[in-house]
Amino acid sequence: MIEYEQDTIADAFTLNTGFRNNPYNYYTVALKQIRALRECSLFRCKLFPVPEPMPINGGGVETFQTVAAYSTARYTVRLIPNSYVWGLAYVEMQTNFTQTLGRSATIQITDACTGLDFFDDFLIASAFEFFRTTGSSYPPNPFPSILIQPKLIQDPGLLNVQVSNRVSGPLLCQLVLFVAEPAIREGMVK
Amino acid sequence: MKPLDPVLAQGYRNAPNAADKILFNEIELYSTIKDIGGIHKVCCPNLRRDQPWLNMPGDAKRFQWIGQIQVSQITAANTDTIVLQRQVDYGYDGSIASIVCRCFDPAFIDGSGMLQWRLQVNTYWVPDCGQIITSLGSLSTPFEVGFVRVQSGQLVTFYVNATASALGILSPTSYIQCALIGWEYAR
Repeated sequence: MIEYEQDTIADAFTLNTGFRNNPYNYYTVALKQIRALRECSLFRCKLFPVPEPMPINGGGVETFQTVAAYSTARYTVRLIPNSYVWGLAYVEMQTNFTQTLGRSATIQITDACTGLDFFDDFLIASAFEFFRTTGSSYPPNPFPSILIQPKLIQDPGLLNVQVSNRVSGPLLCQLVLFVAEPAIREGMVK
Repeated sequence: MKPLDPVLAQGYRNAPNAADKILFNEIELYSTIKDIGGIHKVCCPNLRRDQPWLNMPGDAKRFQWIGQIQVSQITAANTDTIVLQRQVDYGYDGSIASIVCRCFDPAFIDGSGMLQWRLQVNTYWVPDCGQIITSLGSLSTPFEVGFVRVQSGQLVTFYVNATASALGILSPTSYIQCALIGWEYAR
């Protein structure tokens, strides 16, 4: 029989204690939806980049894979089964790794266990972007973008991520999945 | 002020708390659902399970969408021009089994990059069909693409893109043809 303790918010997930409780602000309301994740003690936060950095040119230089022009690249992310995906962030870069304002990609994420898509259709990736150019009339998105409800990823813990490049040049980009993965010893819970 | 618990301050400790219990309960619930057949069986038991996108069901309706334009209708070089655009019928999902993209001009050189065809579903390019530089198939023998699934209401567009030199070489009266062959089935 497990004895559960009462605990305070450890908040290893957003690392931001400056949010006020504003019912008209999506971020603070969404933050409440992941309260269990913020308070739990047996899940740890881990970030998964998609695509992963990989060595090119014989391994001398490390860079990101690019998504070819007019193509849709498919990646598979392996998580520990029973992990929660709770946030997303997206960034587009130039070849010298300078961050640019992303307008080039659409993304779709599918849970391999249930076959369910995260989004109804491919979504403009800049929805998860936190970067804005100087002088932009739009405020920057809070970092990271929190899903309305954390997604539980069951065994085998695989996520299929598709990134579609809509423009005529290769796309250097990275999607970051914010995941709470269980840090549980064998036999601790059922 | 309450002193900081040195273990808690690190963010984690080994004892489960009430929040962990909530999460474990949800994991257990989903495990139970998985054990009895998965979310599809529990939530929508009448959902089709015969994979109608791989084999055409008896009640499906076949489509053969064909689009054709003349080279003169490509008004600007290096610009995507729509050859064929159709919307999947509402209430139906579909499967594109084969495609056709051709240029009937004898001066067209396959694989030269003079023309590029692109197949798009809503905002994304169909994998491996975003930059086709060769003619594929014909209406009598379409090129199989291995089942591109489309959903109700999605807009399917076949573009052609010509380089400036291609517009100088190709006859304005010659035709460019695109076709999509497959079927739609009730959701």
